[in-house]
Amino acid sequence: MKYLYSITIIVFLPIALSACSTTKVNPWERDNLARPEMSWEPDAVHASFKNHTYFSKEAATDRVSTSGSGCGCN
Amino acid sequence: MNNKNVLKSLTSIALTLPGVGAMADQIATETSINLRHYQYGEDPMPAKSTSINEEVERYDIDTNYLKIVTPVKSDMDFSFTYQAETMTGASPWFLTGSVDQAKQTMTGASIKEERDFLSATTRLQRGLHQVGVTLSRSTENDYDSNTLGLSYQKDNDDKSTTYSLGIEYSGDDINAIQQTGAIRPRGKTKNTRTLFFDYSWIINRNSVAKVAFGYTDISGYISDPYKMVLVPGVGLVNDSRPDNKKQKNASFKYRHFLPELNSALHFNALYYKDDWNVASYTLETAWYFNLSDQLQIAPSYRYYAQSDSFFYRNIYEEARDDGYYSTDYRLSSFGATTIGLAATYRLDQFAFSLSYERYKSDVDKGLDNDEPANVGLVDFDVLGIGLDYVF
Repeated sequence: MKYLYSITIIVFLPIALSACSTTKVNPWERDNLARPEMSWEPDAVHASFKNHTYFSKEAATDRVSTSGSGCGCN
Repeated sequence: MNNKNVLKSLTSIALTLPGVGAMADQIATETSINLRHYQYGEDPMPAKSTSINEEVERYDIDTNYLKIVTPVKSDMDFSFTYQAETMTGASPWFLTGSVDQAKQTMTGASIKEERDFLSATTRLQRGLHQVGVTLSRSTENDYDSNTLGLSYQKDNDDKSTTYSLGIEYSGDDINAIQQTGAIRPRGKTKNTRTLFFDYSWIINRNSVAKVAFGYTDISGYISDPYKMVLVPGVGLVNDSRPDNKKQKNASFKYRHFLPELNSALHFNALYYKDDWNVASYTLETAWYFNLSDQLQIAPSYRYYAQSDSFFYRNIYEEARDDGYYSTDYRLSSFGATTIGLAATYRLDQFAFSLSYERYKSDVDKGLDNDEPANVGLVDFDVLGIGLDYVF
């Protein structure tokens, strides 16, 4: 049941957001989107460190960057 | 020039400006240097959980980062990362006792290891297309890892959506350091292949979202060379896991800017599943609040929960037919929360940052509840300081 809950969050929430509210945004209206704090990782170095820490302490990983490499055997 | 042509020209010009894409990874237009220092410290293992009935210190890790990103040409950039870690302390070795009252024996407390990580990435933009190549190498005295990553990214015509594809290959060599009482594996190899796809889109002038899917195939020696397991009728054996693992994950990221509060809200969700029967979900949120033009604070919260692998046990009461054994807490059912606070102060071309995180694990947050808590579950703190310079 908990798996179903997580799948629901991952799959249906973005679909709902996309379907109900996507509007055309002209390039000159994207000032807020271009702000540093709106990037996927405002501090890429810190994000890399956190990913490597979680990689070595938990079974799961999203493994989409090389930040996870190394043994992590501790 | 009529109004329609003026609008078209303005649009074309605006689309060349950095940051107008659907949060795509843009080619750097200025050089940046990032320096970071992190102090990671695990809570000691309490006396009641150890086989010697004494409190045992666990891992402390000091990490230093240097990252340089620089444009090579207007449509090409290069980044370099160097990371040096120094690790000291003891880690869980094997468990003894009963299922309900397991006792942890730790490795020698005199362990001191170092890890160096080097990574170089170059990216080339051609119109709406971007390709990237990453080479990285991680070296420890007992573990070497080399990675090659290739990526492709494409924006749509008005840069309101972006998709990217990537592949990554990693080859690892394992030569464990020996310790009295154990014959640890040497000359082992591990290969990791990863595929990912993500798609991001602008929802409105204050919101963007991204979905991502990943698939990873790991083959070779995937066991932990520093852990052992007490097996009834057999004795103490090395941690032994299947030699192949297939991992799948799906994630969703959402960013929303709140103009009235001058802040950005982040939401991340990740679902993970592998063929060792481990599933997990991660929910993460952060609030980047600009107190002024110079000062920003960012409180964050992360919730994580996973199930256990099909061969994991806290204590084995009988030998397994398949020969797989692991009492590694990382394969047990558990959950964890992380609370964090970061502050950044910007002054001209400099930015100073300070961050703190507290990670606390909890067996009751796990997705399976058929095993008692593994006494090796870890709690830790991370303190970070940083300096950025852009020119």
